[in-house]
Amino acid sequence: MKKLTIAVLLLFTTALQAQTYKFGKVPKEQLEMTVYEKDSTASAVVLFSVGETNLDYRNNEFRLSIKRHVRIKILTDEGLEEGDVSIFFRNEGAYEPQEVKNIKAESYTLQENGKIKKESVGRRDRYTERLSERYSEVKFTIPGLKKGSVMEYSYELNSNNPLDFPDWYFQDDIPVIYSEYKAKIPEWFNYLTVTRGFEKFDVSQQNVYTGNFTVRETQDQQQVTTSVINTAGQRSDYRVNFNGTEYIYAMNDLPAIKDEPYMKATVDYLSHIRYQLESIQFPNQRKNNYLGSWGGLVYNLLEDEDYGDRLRSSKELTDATTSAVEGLETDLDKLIAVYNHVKEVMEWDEYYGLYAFDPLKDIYTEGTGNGTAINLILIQMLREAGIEAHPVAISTRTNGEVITLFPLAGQFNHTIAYVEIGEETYLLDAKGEHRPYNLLPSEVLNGRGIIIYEGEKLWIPLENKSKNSLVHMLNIDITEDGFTGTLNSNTKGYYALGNRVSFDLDDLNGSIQEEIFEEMEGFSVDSTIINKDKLDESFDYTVHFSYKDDSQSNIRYFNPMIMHADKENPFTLEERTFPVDYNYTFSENMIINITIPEGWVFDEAPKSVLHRLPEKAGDFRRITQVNGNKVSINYRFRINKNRFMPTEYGIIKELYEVLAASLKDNIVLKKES
Amino acid sequence: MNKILLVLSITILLALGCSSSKNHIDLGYEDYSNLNPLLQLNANSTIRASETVLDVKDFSKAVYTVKEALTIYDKEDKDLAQIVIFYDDFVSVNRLNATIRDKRGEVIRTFSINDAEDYSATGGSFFSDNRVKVLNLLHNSFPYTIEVEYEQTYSGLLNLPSWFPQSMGQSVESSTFTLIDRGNTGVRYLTQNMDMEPEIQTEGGVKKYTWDMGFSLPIEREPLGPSSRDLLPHVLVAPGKFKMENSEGVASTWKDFGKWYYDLGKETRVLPEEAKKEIDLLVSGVNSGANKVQILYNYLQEKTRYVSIQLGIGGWKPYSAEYVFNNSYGDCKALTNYMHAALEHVGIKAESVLIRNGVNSPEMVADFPSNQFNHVIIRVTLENGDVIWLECTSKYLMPNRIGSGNEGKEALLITENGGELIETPLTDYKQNLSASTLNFSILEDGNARLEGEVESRGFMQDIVLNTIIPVSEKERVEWVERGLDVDKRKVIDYDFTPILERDEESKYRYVADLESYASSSSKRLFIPINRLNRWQLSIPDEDSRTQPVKFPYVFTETDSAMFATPGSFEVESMPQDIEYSYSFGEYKATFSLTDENELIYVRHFSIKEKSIEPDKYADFKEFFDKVRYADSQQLVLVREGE
Repeated sequence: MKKLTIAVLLLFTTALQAQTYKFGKVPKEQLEMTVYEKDSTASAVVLFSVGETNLDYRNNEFRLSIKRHVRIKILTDEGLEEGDVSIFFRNEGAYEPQEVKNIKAESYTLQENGKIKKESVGRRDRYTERLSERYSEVKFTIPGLKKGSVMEYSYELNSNNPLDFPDWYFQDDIPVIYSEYKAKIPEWFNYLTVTRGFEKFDVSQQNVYTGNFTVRETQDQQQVTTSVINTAGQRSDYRVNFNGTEYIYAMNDLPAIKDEPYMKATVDYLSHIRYQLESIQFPNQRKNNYLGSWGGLVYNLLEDEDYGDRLRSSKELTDATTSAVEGLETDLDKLIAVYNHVKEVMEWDEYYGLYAFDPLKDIYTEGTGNGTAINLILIQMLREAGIEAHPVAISTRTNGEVITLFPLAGQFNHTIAYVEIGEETYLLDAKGEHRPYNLLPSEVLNGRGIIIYEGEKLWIPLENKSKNSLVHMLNIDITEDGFTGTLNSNTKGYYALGNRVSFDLDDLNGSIQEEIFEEMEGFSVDSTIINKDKLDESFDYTVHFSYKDDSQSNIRYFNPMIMHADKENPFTLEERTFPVDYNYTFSENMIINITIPEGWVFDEAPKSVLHRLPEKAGDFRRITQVNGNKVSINYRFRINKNRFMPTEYGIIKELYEVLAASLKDNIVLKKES
Repeated sequence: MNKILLVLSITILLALGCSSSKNHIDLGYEDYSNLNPLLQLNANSTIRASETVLDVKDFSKAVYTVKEALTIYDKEDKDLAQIVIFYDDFVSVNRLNATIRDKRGEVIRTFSINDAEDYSATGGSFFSDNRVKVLNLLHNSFPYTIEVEYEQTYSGLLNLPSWFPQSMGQSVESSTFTLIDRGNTGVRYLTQNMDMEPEIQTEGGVKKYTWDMGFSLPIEREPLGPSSRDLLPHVLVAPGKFKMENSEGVASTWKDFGKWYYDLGKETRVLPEEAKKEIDLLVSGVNSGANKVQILYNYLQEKTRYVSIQLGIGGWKPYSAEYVFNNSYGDCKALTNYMHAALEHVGIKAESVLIRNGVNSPEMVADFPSNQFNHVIIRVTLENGDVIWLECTSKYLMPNRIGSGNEGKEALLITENGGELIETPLTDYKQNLSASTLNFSILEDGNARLEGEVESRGFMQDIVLNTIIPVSEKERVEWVERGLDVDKRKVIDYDFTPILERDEESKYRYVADLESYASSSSKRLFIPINRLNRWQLSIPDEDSRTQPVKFPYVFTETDSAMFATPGSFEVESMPQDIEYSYSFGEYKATFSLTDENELIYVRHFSIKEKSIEPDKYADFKEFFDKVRYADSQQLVLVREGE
């Protein structure tokens, strides 16, 4: 068995070496290709994407040279947009500018006469757009591009900062046939790597290589690396020999990542490898650490002038706190009051970011801030109210999972508040309206956050304590000319939040008509009462409604699901290559009691249905009971698990199919003759 | 792309940084607290005082200054406190100062141009030199007042700013606009949506026009109503003589303006020899002009694609025919120019037509010659006098189809002798047609086999061509499947040939299996009669409509469906025939049963008018409510013997 693996590996190695990706050498079969068999929907396919990063000693310093070469086959007109290329870099306004050079870009098109027509991007056809003070983009459009063309481009990006070691994405939003990444790292540099995604490496190997370079004494001795290496105190040029490791990774046949329902950040699904400089240690020198521990990160953030140091007392915040908590006794009441005050006064500018770039009192006075700024204000005010509160640095769902191997602040993009009152702990996020203090936005529910304080706990799971549930009790009296009914609704968690956001309190009947009954013709909402709108508990309401039907028919069909938004199955694809991720678990219950008038009988009622997922991960149930002139139907739909792996896609899809089909079932009434 | 957005967002945040300037803006206000309550009614904000001056120095330079105080009432309307100033190679920002004052008028903070964030504003273009300066004037206590003052220099008068004394939902305490003509530049104005003539002062060859708008209540836009520009009062300003880079022109008549544009593009319309050869080869042996146009249009569509690049005068001057020939891409001007050159080369008369493109864009103001355009198309005139219109940025449209954004609009024909106002053709509701023929075979379990054929013409054809041609075959099939609106469906056979070959009769055909098309119970089958093309939009209820409803296009749908039902079932319930007729639309549905128990359903639905007057709003809502209901009906079959 072992021998076999080795043989296979060897084969791969030779295959890999045999493949060279020379610019401009386009095999005829690539030009003649019309469809990508493995994904015939593809508008374009990456034939190969190869990259190489080297840390070379040049001009007395180590410089990163990042080379990339991509070749793409255009399969449809839609794919032509691959020809618009942008290369992002730090410009000369930045502290350590990057340089983009050696751009080559060409297209090859097979002519009717069998000849290949080649077009190149000229220097004049490239533009550099300054996006901001520190970032620019080189942009160009590949000329001569048509459906059927092959295009390729290559460039080199240089940086003198070893922290810029690039991540490599094997996967893309179009399919990739082959993706390869080489990284050559001299022995003195220690990088940590992490791989992500749901595809497997076809090649993953490490080779030792040797290299050398000459250190020139005449150069500026201020160069850190030079002075470090030059320990012997020689005054002349000398050669340095070193060992290094070359890493080679490759993947074949990567499917395109497309937007699907119930996805987290695309970056969490794309197959990729990330690099993080941990330390640099030259011979006989002290080790320079670039990556600390999580504990160190907490300490640094506490001291950071744009983070922990922002948490200072100020007249503005003290005064605001005093008036907000005035007359309140318990810490919980104070917490709620402060939370509501911040939520009311502060508007979220729709941006995330881990830092607050102005003093909290200024941001408070402006009334608008990013997520972190708003919650630091919350924390500071809670402290002013005598409540123990600390920041929790988190990464939102859109920002992607936190990689525990890299204790890096750059992974976080938001801050929420952690509060301890006696034995109870709370997580709060005061950005955005309508949400009660005990409900975090779903965007925040992404694994764990790190508490920035000197306490013992480090990580805290980002979860809501409250459940997400909807209970609808529906009583319908069918009459000779339509029906009248009452709906009692009880919603908790995100369901309650949804109602608070969508209901217009000045026109409740209209809102119900629109949101719940979806503007059904002939339908009228007669009255709506909100029984309870306690932010931290539930949102309950009662609706009286009626429906006019003047068809005078002796037979009537009636769909008891007169309201239910999710009638469609979100999962239409046959297969899914990445998991289904629910933001949160939920349960929906609906109990419907229908009474029919004298002289009518039930001819048909929906069948009872039970469909369960394994391990209680979710279910759909409908129980129907007919009893004389009454029928009661009890529905339940639940999802109890956040993540369903690609292998479970079939079962979750089937659950929705059963649900969607069941929701269409009718009750049939007949007039007794 | 996400990365870029992120960077942008970070830099925008950084812009909230500290301020330095202490220059207060003097608008004569000591106290902002005194405000007429009437002005707060239904207003998101009030212009307290605003002074706008456009000083036209000569035919190549103008200075534009704005001083304004705006009171914002509510957190919801905080976006009004974002000051956005666009600039580019022709328009610079010289000065920008701002102050925030609280409700008592106390200065909270001041800002200068250095506090503004600056970033690129390419909009829909792949590359352009448009940039923007942004200041966020934020405060947490409402109401508060922002004072802004800025100055811009126009070095090139082609696009002079318009004056809008108020924006949507905004009331006005006082707002003035002064237009200064210092050198008989021939600068002109036109007052829109308000009855106000300027006060004119003449002093030693300097003419001053002043508009003074006092107390004004807010204007609201109603749902589906006209564009803001068609509702808000404003003053348009345009140059007489003007200069852009090295190009001089006159805009006071359409003729002159057209002449300038013609000359600007003239020298770029030279085909390289290679291109000429390619084109000669294409049309050799072809005699009919119409055929030549067809061939060359196909050639252009096949060869090129639209990429928007707007740089300097390049925002106006087309890239050369040679550039398009070599690169196979270009913006609307470049592609039109190339087509123009190609047509001229084969001896066919072609003219560019400048137009304001957009389905909901405001109408062009015909009696005010000026640059009101954002797009260019081609009008071809054959020797026999026949006219063919071409939209050169589309890879798929048929000749003579210019898309709904160009239809029925006044536009400027560019001829050798100058510009001339013309109107582009408009397809009427009968010509914008979608006609489907659907044959359903319903099985006992509710599954169905569907054979469908869909023909489209006019605007509907444009959509189908634009959807079908650019994508892979499998995606075409998936597009059809998505339109079938059944959770489980599979297209098992299809034919898009007439679309791909762009036949005059644009049809596609498919056969699909639909799982649970009808919902089945132990005794019955419930068959939706129009599940695939039902009207779903509901129209909001409005008691007092004052503005017309604007429809993007008129159309007709004719659908006929035949439902073959399983033998063991009989019809229990069938919808009634329906007919609704209004001046703006018609709906008709008929149902009949054949001897074989097949239901024949014929539906005819049309919207005939693009604009529906406010007094017909109730009818309009009623019509769509009825259509929505009519489309949602079902046929019920019951098992024989039940």
